Amino acid sequence: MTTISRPSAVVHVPPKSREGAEERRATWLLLGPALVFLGALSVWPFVYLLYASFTSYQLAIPIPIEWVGFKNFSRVITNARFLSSLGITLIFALVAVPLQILIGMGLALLLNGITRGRELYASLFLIPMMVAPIVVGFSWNLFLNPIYGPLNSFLKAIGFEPPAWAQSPDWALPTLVLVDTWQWTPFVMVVLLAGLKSIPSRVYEAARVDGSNRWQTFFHIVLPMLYPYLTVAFVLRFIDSFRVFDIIYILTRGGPGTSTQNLAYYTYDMGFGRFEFGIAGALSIIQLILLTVGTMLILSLAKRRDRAPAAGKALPPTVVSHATQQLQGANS
Amino acid sequence: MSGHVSPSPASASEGNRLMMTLGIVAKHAVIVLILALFLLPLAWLLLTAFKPYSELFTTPPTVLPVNGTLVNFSEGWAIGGGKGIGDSLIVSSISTALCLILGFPAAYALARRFPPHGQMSFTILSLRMLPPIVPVIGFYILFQELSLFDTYTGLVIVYTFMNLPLVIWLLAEFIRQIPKTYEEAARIDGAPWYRLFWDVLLPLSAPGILTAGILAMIFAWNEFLFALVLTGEKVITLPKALASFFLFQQPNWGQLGAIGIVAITPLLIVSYYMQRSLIRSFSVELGGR
Repeated sequence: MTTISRPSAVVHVPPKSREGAEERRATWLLLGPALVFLGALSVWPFVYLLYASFTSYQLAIPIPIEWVGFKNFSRVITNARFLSSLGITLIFALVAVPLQILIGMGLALLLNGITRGRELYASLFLIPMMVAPIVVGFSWNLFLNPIYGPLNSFLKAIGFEPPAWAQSPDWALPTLVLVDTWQWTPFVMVVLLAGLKSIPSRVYEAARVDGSNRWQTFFHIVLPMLYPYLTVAFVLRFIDSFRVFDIIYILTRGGPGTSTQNLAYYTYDMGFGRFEFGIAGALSIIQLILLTVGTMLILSLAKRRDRAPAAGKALPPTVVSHATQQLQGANS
Repeated sequence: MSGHVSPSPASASEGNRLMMTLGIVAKHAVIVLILALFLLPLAWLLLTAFKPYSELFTTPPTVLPVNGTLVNFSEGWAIGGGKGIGDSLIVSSISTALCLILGFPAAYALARRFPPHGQMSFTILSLRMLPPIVPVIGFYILFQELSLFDTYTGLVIVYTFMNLPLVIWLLAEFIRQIPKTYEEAARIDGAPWYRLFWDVLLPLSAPGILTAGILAMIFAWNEFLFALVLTGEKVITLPKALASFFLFQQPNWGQLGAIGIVAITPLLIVSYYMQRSLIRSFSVELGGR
């Protein structure tokens, strides 16, 4: 766990001498431009977003804009399409993400078991993550094409009757989950690989001396030590699962019917397909609330379970930073 | 490494070594097999890019192109891939430059003048977590008001907004790893803060700047939703070009495959080199391993 509580975490106290005032001015001079830029671009569009969601704002329709209060919100919440798109967003968050963590764990354990070539393998596994989601969607479209794609030809040749994947009502959503999992499992793998590498080999030796077998070692020693890394992987993937849009846009366009419309796609469709900016604005704000509450819930659950105070305290930024560095380093 | 004493140590350990070698070979075989299956869809994209039109729509499909051709690349360039590459390059490189210019001073201030992982860093990072669909409506109305819709400036501003939090945060993490002794030495020599910043820390941060810059570039290069909503006919980035050709025109998969391959190849090369530089630059953080 040395990587979690790094020695670099020394508190830097701003100097309080005569130069204090100048130092403070320098700080704001350095920080100011970025803060102004970020602040302006968070607040300004957000004001418009609020404005749209509480009025009868409709693009391209020259009707007088009226204040409607929470009417857009109540219209959204009582709509069946909202509930179904919420369900699909949750399927990405609560089915695809655990799947990614399970497979990512398997791959990380597999790669952790070898030494030579590990970096090369890891960087090859990471390729899907670097590819633009639009290109990912297009590749899978070719690969899964029911008539001209290689997979279905192969399945037919060995005697299966393959589904039409993205074009079939039953298989469209599983196909999207598959593609999302394909693209993001490597991320989980790299985070967990970093976690496995942080466990000193003497821990395994001590476990073996104490007579615990592989499974016991994994479940009682390795898994608890990986816990902060699992949390990081889960939180980051949970947050990102609300972003799924590109692969839906290119693989199913939300269809067949509305069977693969998640909240992001539904919002896009209301805003830029039907120009109902009031509804789309309300949907955006609902997503923001869901995402914030969900993330805080997961983090507080994780903290409660994590009894080691040092690790718990350092959980969000330090482990995230470590994991991100590992991710960007794409090293093992 | 076997813990128990066996009657004939030499032969037992030889057997163990054989078993271990076999085990390692088996593991490598499993990994290579998984990897091969895993990369199949991208391999298929690559093969498609080299197939002439006549080989695209056959059942069963030909695996390897029979009459391999490069014509898809030139045609893909002509139908809009070239414009897409140009626009993506313009938008992603300018926004990356802006991210670094705004982000490096801010990261320096956060790393050296605030407690580590202070509230400020976390607030900035949380902006990064926002799914693009949330701010896009507000940006759309704002851009209509300011006549920024379908302009390079508009997209550059959004991509800078999108990547700046991550750039600041990565650079701040990087600067925290740099020992303070360099700055202290310069300070004792009487250097003012801006000299510390410009002459001491900037050169030391070069690897971190490279990493953060490449990452911002990749995210801007791959971004789709903002480009889809906030631009029209004038600015057409590569992902948008690919999506609109695929969905709204008679698609020639070979040409689109060629565009796709051209879109991802630079990223794969760059990220491979980034990995090398990152292992070097973070070796301090990893305890010099």
